[in-house]
Amino acid sequence: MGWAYRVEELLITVLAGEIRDGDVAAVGGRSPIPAAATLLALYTHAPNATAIILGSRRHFPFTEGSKEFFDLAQRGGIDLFFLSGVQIDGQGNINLHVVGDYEQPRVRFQGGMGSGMLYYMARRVVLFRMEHSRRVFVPRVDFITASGTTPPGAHRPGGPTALVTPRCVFDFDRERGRFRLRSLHPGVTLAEVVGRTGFEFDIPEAAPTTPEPTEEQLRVLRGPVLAELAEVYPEFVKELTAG
Amino acid sequence: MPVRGFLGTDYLKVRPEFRVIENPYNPGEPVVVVPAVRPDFALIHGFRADAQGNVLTDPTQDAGLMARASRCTVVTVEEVQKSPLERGPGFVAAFYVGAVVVAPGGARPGACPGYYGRDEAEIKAYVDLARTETGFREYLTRYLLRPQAYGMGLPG
Repeated sequence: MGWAYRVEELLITVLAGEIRDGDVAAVGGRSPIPAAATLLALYTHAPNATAIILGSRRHFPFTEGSKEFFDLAQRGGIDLFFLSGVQIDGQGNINLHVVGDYEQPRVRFQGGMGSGMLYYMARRVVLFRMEHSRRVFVPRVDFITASGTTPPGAHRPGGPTALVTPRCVFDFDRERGRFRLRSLHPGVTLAEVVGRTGFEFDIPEAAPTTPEPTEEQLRVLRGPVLAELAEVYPEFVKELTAG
Repeated sequence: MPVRGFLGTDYLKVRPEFRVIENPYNPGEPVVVVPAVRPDFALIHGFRADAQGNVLTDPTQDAGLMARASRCTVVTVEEVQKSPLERGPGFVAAFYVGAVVVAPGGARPGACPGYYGRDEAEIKAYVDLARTETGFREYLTRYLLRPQAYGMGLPG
């Protein structure tokens, strides 16, 4: 019998699995699930990782604000960064700007901050989106805020490696500029993922099931991780523990 | 100034001042360059100011950077002190500061670390009200045009 858990808890453990021991892992704003994943990794398999969490005082080791963070990224100091998008396409392009035409958008969003740079410089960028739908995962984004592809000769030590959704995990093949299904979350079918994904992706012969959170992971997550996360995301912690 | 990445993005289509040049130190490598942002004014909030006009701001934020970039910076502060502020993280020297305004609570409904946290309830109220022009005006009347109703002490 499996342990009862919420989908957010599954996603937190999946994202935590992307963090390796020794990584410098950074989380931007409005990202409670990646922030929880980073803390969970620190408490479990990656005790020597460094967490940089925007909005946290304990996990923000800078005295020069976000400028110092972006400078650190540009000198190659970030191993892993979590990024999301209003739209994400099959070539790994991210849109954080507009839906529709740029000059006359249907919706205008806040923009990309440094994501156009971080997408090049963070060694591994893990994409994460809570909505798995055709309006999010599109054949071609309306605006490229961060580019999945790289022009010849450009300096690019990093880039996207994976995309995590509430239904499945994709790997990103940087050489081919294409996603490949890694695993389906428990209870999710391949047809469902194909039906809800607007871009084409590679499908392995037999897609495995995403590993479920272990009892130990859930214990640590619900204990020390949420207690620490409340510093930055009190509302999220309240919702997650509301049963 | 040069910036890593951004190649292949649509910034280069909509922002003519973002240019791609060849890295002069590494022939064949394209690099994006952008002009410095030089605001006429920066409005920032600090913890404290001293009599000379030096200001202490949150070192995890970019207030000092904005002050150094702008032609004129107006700083609201929680409090003033007579003795000179210590140099250290978050210190903004007086020659970047055009004016200091004593405005305790001036960062509300945002947080001012060490003084108060984010007011989640008011931020939610603002988000709801700001959906319409009438609601936005109601917010201004309720919270900003009557600062005493909001717990913002007036100096003196």
